[in-house]
Amino acid sequence: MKVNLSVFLEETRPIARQLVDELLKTYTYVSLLGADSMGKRYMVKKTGVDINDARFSERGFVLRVHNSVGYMEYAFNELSIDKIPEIISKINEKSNYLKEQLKNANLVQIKYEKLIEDSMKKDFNEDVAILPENISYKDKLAKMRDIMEKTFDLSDELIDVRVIYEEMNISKIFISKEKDLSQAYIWSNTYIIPIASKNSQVKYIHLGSSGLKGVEILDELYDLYEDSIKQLNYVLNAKTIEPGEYDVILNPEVSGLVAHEAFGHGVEMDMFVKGRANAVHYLNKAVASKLVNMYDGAASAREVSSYFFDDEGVIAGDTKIIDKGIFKTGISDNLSAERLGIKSTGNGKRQTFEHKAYSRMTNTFFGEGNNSLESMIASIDYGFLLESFNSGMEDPKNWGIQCVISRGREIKNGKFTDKVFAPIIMTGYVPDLLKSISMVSKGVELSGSGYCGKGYKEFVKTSIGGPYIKARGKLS
Amino acid sequence: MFSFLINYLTNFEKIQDWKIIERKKDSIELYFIKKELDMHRSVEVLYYDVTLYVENKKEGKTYLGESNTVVSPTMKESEVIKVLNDCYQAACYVYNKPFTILKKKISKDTEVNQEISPFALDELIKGMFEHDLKTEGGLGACEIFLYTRKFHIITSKGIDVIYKKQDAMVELVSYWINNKKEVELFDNLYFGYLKKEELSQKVKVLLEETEKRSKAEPMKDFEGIPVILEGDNVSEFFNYFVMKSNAQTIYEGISNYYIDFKIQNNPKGDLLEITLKPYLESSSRSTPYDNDGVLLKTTPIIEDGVVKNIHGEHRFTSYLDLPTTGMIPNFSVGLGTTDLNELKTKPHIVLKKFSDFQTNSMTGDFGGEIRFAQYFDGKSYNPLTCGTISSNVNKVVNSMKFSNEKFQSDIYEGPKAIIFDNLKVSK
Repeated sequence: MKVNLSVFLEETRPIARQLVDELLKTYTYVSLLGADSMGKRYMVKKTGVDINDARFSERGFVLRVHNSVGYMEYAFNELSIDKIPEIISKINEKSNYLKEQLKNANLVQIKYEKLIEDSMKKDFNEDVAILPENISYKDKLAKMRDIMEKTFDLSDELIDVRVIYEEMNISKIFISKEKDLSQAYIWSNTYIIPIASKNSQVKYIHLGSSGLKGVEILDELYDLYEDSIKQLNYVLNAKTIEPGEYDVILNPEVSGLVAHEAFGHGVEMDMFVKGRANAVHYLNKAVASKLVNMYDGAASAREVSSYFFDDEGVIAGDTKIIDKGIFKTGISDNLSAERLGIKSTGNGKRQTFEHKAYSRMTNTFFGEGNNSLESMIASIDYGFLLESFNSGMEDPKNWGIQCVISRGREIKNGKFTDKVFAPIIMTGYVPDLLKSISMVSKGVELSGSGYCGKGYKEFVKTSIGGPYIKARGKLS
Repeated sequence: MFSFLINYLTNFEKIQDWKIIERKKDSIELYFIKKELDMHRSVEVLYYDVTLYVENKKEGKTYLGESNTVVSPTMKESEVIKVLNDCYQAACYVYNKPFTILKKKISKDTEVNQEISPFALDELIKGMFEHDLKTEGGLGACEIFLYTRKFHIITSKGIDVIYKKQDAMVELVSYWINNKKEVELFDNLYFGYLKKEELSQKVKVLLEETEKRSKAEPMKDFEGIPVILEGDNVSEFFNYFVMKSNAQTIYEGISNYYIDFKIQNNPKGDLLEITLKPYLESSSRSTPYDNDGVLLKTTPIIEDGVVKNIHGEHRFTSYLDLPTTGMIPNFSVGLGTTDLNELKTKPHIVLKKFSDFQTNSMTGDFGGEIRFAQYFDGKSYNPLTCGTISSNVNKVVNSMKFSNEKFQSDIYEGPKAIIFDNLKVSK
């Protein structure tokens, strides 16, 4: 079923155009992003139910203008014909105030050229099987309760089972002198989180599914709940790992985390502009084993971070970042690209209209190889299969890695033992890890259950993935 | 819009109660690359958070359904009514244990105004770069966010409170070059009202640490020597105990804490003392009221290593039949007995910066990758980088010691350092 642009944005579009045209009389470049993205987050747990607006529901606008030296932005959430003079006056006032404050502090603004855009007028609409508004709260919750109860039936050690479903209906317009774009699509997420206690220690795991999907995604929980208990049992009986360097196989989720945290953040090209990225010294040089290919792009895959145009009105890209181990290019937002004299890759993303656009990852993954998972396991004398993760942190300047991994299943003489270790922190130096990759499996799996931050803020939806990868990892 | 919402909800017969929070936020944002301004932004937004409470009956039992939604000032009346009815529909399917909605306890409307002063932007910028004077290193990038906020909380039970506040967030990225090798450190700092001197001092310390990191050697394995955790990592570690004594985690079975629960048993180290505070000068989250309009008070929660009060959202303290504390945003930890200077008689390692030090509030697992540490070999401090620590709160709770030196950062005040004697640092 077709996802339609929000009625509010349809009605406001002519006013937004009028505001942009008025500002173009004063400023050499003006663009406006309008967002009306609404969603709900449902959680069913033993003690009750929560239904609230989704975390990043938003309705508002952000204006970007070129003030003859560089760019400034003004974000607001009240727009009508009557408000246009007030908005223009505020932009002028804020621009002059900043010039005065900078002068007092003896500092200057960085000079940017006016952004050059190709003319484009287009509306994009995605399809889903079942629109969220076509299924009642009652029916969605009934399915979630059923999953919760089925999961509870599988273990006596459970304290709680949390079943979460989030649906986001994205509606955006982008208007500038040359562009008039709109897009409407839906992404959704589910999670199942069984929580248990053993010897006064609380343990949990989370499994999820995601995609450019509607309510049909709820049915995918039926394929996950039995596995969630199996994995929880691994963690409940887990031991503490002896720190050291081991042969490891990263499952697609963990290989995606490595692609994202270890290398992806370091090739966000606003980091190049800030002098924060070590990767800038490695363009067209080997950074990984020849078996490694890495991609990012809203158009590279069909997952939760797939869109038609980014938050700066640039059409979605498909970027090959690493080609046979050689670092080829990074990913950029519009202003970083302008500073670097290149074309934006369509990776300018904002947390919401209130936030600045940065170079951000979208769907980030390693490409597939030729090995079978069985042959990879068989090749290990002693090591671990690393599964699922809790978090990761980037270090683009010094290429350190921090990945907090949920669990590692022990492999001895090419076979799994019954031992599991958890949690595991994988650290090390990015090129060491990527160059140690010795086997890559067939097939790529992506998942978009989490959010990505830039440092400790600016959270956006991303998906990550890859094949199974064999490497050497420092674990503790 | 505000009066429309109040009128509509007052006459909405199907609901039992309602709450509206009007949130207004103005911000000034500056983005620097080295000492040049890359971009400036302003945000001016207004929202109405509406919560509806509906009495639901099922199989002879009564439940309280609750759902919330955000009303935008651009919504026409017809759209607002649609959104509120949708929110009501959602609440009709929420079968949660009932509780009594808070009633007005004060005789008249209250307005608590933190004094709102214009930010001295030019002075803040000068303060930020005051110590950024050397050619080998400095601030590579920084972002300043200055917020002025206003809240108005009104409920169907007569609560009607207004307050204003200012706070700030600063992201600092520093770099230093030593023998052609460049390193960086990163700080994400939160403040109450941001002052020039405070910012200047934070930058000074960060630049000194970055210079030291540039001379750092790779981490070695350490075991059997005191491991000292410093900085915001200390706040992250202690926050575990705040979360475990929260009514929601107890009600949901995640925490086993109860009043008089002994967190520490025959400890060899210092006893935990934690007090929640609505106001700390350094805090970005200081507030006189929580989101239910509860007037917040200083509340001790842990004394001599024993839980004395359970705290949290009114709904969950009600479920546990405990007094309402509300959600108190800041916490103060009692100082310990260890003088950090006295440790200088023997080898120890001070862990100052991590990639992302985390304490899992559910499991108690803590750890992270070390970006900057100082190893004292008995004579002098030697900078080290990389390496990890990984442990669980339950393994250290009876042996950890706290410094007698005080530290304050955002929502935390208390010991500057935690000293562990049974923690392993891995290279």
